[in-house]
Amino acid sequence: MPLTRDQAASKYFQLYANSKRLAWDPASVDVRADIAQWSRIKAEHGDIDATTQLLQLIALFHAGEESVTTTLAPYVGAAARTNAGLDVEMFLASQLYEEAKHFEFFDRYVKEVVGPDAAGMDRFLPGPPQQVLIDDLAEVSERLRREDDPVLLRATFVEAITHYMGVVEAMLARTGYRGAHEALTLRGWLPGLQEGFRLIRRDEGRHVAFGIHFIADACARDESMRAIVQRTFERHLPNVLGTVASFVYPHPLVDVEQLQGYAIGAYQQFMAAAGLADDAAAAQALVLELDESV
Amino acid sequence: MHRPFTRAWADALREAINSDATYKSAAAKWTWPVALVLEADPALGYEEPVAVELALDRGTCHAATLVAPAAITAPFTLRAAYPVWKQIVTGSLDAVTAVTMGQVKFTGALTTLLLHVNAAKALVGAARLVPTAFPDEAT
Ligand SMILES: [Fe+2]
Ligand SMILES: [Fe+2]
Repeated sequence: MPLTRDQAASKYFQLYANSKRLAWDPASVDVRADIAQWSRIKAEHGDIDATTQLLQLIALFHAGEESVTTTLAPYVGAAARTNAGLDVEMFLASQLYEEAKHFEFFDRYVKEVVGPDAAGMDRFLPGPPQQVLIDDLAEVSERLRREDDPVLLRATFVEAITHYMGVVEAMLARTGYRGAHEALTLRGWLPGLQEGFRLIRRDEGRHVAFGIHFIADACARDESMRAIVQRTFERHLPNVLGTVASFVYPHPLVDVEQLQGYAIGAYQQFMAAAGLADDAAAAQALVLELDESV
Repeated sequence: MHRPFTRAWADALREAINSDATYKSAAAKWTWPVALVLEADPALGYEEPVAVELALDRGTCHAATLVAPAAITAPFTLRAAYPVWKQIVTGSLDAVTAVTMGQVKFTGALTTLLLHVNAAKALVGAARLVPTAFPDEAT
């Protein structure tokens, strides 16, 4: 059956089309300069634990991208089972491919650049990051896969999209890019990692844009979905803030208080852009930022 | 000069809120009562924890009542030890940061608080206007 005219012109299809146009290969990002720089940063900034702080950031992205890669497939299935539209299914398929590439990038980076220093990097996970990024995301994804009541499936789909595209991508990941920008770009450190973050952030802009449109559409069709979005954020916000707070060091590479403020702003922007909070300036700020990346 | 978390301080806080134009505009959409709770600190004369409940509605404080924490009915509660409150009131610690970093214990809908961060900051701004006699400072 051909795509309908509406589907071919939809925001979802446009995001899918942009995904093809902006495709990149994680294996082609040049990380050779980073290998020597990693040792140099470790030697020259050992007094402030610079590579430990960088490793924590890398460890969370590595685990986070793995988690979003392994939990997204049920979303594609749920799109089909709720008749969300072939355009939605096509977009989610493109996202699944991109999350796999993001995981590949960080996995490659850990092996080729961080090397033996990556030993024990799982120590950064227990507590809030493990909960919000991995365990709870796996739990809602599994519920989505198993749900066969059509009404409950729609509600679970909205919850799952809010958790994945709202809490994890719009709040946590965007805050992570901000942290990476401050830690790396402003210091001119690790150009290969910076380039990876740049390309991943561009992809993530589409994923966040998808989440905003999906939630706005779902809430426009059914007002009761608003409470589900609200409840999902309420449940996970403490773990988002706890994850950001875990970057406190005696000599921090990034200002954690500013980062908390950024995370709160990211939440306000997501809610406003999805039409769930009355804040035109916040909505506009996010739309402008996403336009740069999609 | 008022000792914090007393009847007179609560009254002065209500007046400060109501005469603060910044709060009035920043909190135009805030419609819920808020309770501030001070942990017990016997060394400073606070034998029991004490709360000030603020009846806030769209930029106005209709009442500021001194209550025991068990009697709080406000849907939002901010609870902290004396040194934390002092840092907040004197401006060396941001109230919202203190919530996100766990120095202030928050109960209520975090989603709502975080959508109204400016109202919360403006409330603290008004509290800074209250002439306060800090009991840990020599008089
Ligand atoms: Fe990703
Ligand atoms: Fe993503």
